[in-house]
Amino acid sequence: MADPTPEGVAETLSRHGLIGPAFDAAAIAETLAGWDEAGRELDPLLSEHEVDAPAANPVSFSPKW
Amino acid sequence: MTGPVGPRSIASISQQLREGAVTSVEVTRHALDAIDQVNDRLNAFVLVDPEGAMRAAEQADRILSSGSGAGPLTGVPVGIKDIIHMEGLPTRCGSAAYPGEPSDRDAAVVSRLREAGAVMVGKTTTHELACGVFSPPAANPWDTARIPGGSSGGSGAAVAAGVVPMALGSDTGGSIRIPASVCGIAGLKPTFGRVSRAGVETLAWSLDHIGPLAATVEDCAATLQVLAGHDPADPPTEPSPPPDYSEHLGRGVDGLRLGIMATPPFSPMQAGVERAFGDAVAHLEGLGAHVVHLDVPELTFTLATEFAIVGPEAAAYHRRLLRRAPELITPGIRELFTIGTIMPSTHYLKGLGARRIIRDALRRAFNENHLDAAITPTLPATAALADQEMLDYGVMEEDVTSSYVRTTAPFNLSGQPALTVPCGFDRDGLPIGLQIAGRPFDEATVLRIGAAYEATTSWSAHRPPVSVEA
Repeated sequence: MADPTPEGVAETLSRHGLIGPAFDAAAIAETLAGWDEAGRELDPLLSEHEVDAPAANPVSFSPKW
Repeated sequence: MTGPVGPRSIASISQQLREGAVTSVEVTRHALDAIDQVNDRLNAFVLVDPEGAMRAAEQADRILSSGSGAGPLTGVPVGIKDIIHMEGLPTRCGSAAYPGEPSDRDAAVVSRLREAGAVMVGKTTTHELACGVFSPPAANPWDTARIPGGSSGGSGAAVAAGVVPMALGSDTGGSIRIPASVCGIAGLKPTFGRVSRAGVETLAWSLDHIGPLAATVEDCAATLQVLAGHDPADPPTEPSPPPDYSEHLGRGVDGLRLGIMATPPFSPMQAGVERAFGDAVAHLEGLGAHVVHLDVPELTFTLATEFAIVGPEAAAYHRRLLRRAPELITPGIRELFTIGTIMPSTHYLKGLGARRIIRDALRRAFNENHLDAAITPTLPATAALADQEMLDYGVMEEDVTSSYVRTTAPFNLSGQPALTVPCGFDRDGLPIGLQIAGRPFDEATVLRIGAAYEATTSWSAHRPPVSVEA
């Protein structure tokens, strides 16, 4: 997902087989921008702490301390 | 210990069954009649199985009359959230997209309940695909204009109204504790890996948990005893056997160390919730607990982390449905799945990294303060109106879903066990919940604290306006 414009989103949706009136590319592009913003909110947390990526693997997630 | 709730609890029904005061057939017929009596107002059940329930009740009565082989749940009627498969019954997941064909298998938790002799009377209403906190068309027994929470809203309403003493729920960001809190009952999200999810429809595989919504903490313990254990069909389940969850229920809280969490994301909260929470903390102190006030700033990233994980995992699980029948998914959920499909993988990886940081922050807070449990308001607000979108906290407005999830999801992210118990009412007479979160796999301490609180307060004994006679 490189191009966040409505046209880029429409192309990405199509590539995923998500086509038809249920998928409004312009609206989805707008929502996606909000999600990108939410993702950036995590940047300060992630820059403060060093996380070993494999340790964050959800398949092997363990609640054990 | 039977708790203050009396005849609508598993413990009291079980006792009457063992004493021969009632039969399971009678208790089950009462539950089925109760559904007839209240379901038009509550919509707590989407499917009732009178034939299957009566067959199970007759079998339970044979076991009970034989004098051996009966457990605490033998002959007790229960409800099952409609994302959990039961052989011979459809699993519709609150979704127009799910067919009405009967399931060909029982979920692991259903098998365990059957083996324990529980009588499953029907399937309870879920928010569509377990992805929401409103659970339409189910209603709250305390005020039918308000939501029963979600996504296990039907289970919450059914137990609060006294139809069944326990109903199963699932919890990805709070979906057991949210309905339990707003319906004024107990609800337990066990540790991640404590209870098998095999045979349960997925929302987000690294956050989903299964557990009970029940009339009392003791009932949560009795149910967990049946559900807990390793299952090769759900690899994250813990291999070591579960302890006896009832053993420490009556030991009180004297000497336990409790971390009080009332800073963001647990605040802001409604004034009524703040009062009830403060009173509950003072009550626990009065019972001999040592309290330590905690601030874990990493938890302010809870919502961004939760949704960064739920979006792509839910999208991956429902990818075929999203392509095949998108018009059968309501727009908000369809949008979540669509975004989850096309969002950059870095967003998901950020969520996983943040989750790890949050888990480690909670571990440090527990270890550095030598805590036995953390205490928080279960939710910052009471039950919203069915058509309400925003909650007003004075200092800010917030949508209902974010409000409810920000206080419960920290323990989905960490995987810790978390229990809610009733701790008061707001000025509109709506229930308020107290959340008790423990160390991983230490449900016994969480249940012990909840039982001590419940046994020395009367909040759990209150009955909603829409309820059935015991």
